[in-house]
Amino acid sequence: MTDMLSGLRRFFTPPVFDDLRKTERVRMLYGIAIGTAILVTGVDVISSVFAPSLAVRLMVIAVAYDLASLALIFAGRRGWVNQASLAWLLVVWLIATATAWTGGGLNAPAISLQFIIVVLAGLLLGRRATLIAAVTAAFVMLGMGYAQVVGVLPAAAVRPAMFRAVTLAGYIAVLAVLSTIATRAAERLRARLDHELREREAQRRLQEKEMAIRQAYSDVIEAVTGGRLLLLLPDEIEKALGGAIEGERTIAAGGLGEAIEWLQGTLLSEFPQLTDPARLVDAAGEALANAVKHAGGGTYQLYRKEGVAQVRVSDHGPGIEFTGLSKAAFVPGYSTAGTLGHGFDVMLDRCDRVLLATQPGMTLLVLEVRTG
Amino acid sequence: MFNASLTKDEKFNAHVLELSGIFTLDEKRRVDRLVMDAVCNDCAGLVIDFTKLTYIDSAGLMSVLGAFHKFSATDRPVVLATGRNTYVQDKLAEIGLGRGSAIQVVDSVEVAKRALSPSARDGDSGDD
Repeated sequence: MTDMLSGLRRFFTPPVFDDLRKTERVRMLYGIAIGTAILVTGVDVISSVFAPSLAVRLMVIAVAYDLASLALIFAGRRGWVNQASLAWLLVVWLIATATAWTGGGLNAPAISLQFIIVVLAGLLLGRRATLIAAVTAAFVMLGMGYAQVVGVLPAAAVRPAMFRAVTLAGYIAVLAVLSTIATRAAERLRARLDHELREREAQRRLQEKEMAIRQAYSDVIEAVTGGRLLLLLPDEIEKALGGAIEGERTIAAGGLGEAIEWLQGTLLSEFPQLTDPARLVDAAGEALANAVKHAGGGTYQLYRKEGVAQVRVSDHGPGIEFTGLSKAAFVPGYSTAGTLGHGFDVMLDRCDRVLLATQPGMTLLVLEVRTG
Repeated sequence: MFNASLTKDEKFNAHVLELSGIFTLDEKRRVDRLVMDAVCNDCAGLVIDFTKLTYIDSAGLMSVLGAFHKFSATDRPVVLATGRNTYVQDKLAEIGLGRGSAIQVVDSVEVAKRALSPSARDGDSGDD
């Protein structure tokens, strides 16, 4: 007995899918199927009290509707939301139209179901379905009216007043249920949006704080190095570059020797006025070795700006953390990669200026030496 | 571009590690292996010949320091021969390996080999 009850509970509990939108739609679908099935069955049972001659007919309608709703729940469980919704709407429309047709056409209480079907179509399938359902309902009503005028409607038993009252009250209850389902869905959406907005706001504040900390670090490092080490943003560094000498070159493990040789030769030929090109080669060599060590490789390029030779080295490694940066810059021998760690202090010693932009996923370095 | 070779001078029972060209992080592992070969071999000590080296980075300097530590652990000396290579002399000095430091730095390989002999270690510095 307990197993059966828990099985039933599981069956009637909406499933959760990875797709949030699908989960929400299935939840709505379950609410509509279960809520309207209960109401339709209840209304039909109560109505049959006031019109015993119609009891069999009402039970057939209730059973047909309940079976259609169970099928909808079953299909929704499997994630066939659109297909199940469309099939169920068609079945409900057929039941409603047949009931009205055989119940007196436009005089039958069941004709009001056409309005409810329009609302159901919108909730389950969206705006386009609402439009189609509305046009269909209009045609059904016109058709019924015409049929009534030409006298082709089947004869229908007279519905007692209480029967009509209970049926119409039931339809109002269905509309109330649908409205509640729609409102709850809207509230959930609003709550989700509020949550997302709050998260975004928190994220924005965090980013602002990080920027402020970064700026403070940048100011301190600039002050301590006498303006020789500048922490900048990538586009600020790009703006500080002069004209490129040859194209960008790639560096990877095994290619450091070739890169050093190229730098030695090119600096000699392009900057004959450089008093000690070995200083810039030393600094660039350390930057290139860092790119290989920490990022598996990167790119480098030579630039000429008025009175300055620039070497640009970039990689897509993990970046230098600010705490690591201050140590890397000012503590001789500090390294996170198990080597001597002389890289940064060599760069600062050999160059007139070092421009650095670093963040997770990117490090961009420009080494500057005055040529005149 | 870079060459590293390890030879043994039987007369002085010394290993000579000759480094030439551009010594970068890429070459570190190879040089460290050669140093280990020398450590594991029975010899009086190690001479590192820098006379033909044109570039060395911090990884390369770490190899040199590593060689010193490995040989020190077996109570054997390491002598560095830099010749007139002022570039290498300056780089070694940056990490405290210049003249007058814990490691001997001499002008030539021959002087370095002689410096490894026990009599030289006891008295004569062997510098030219």
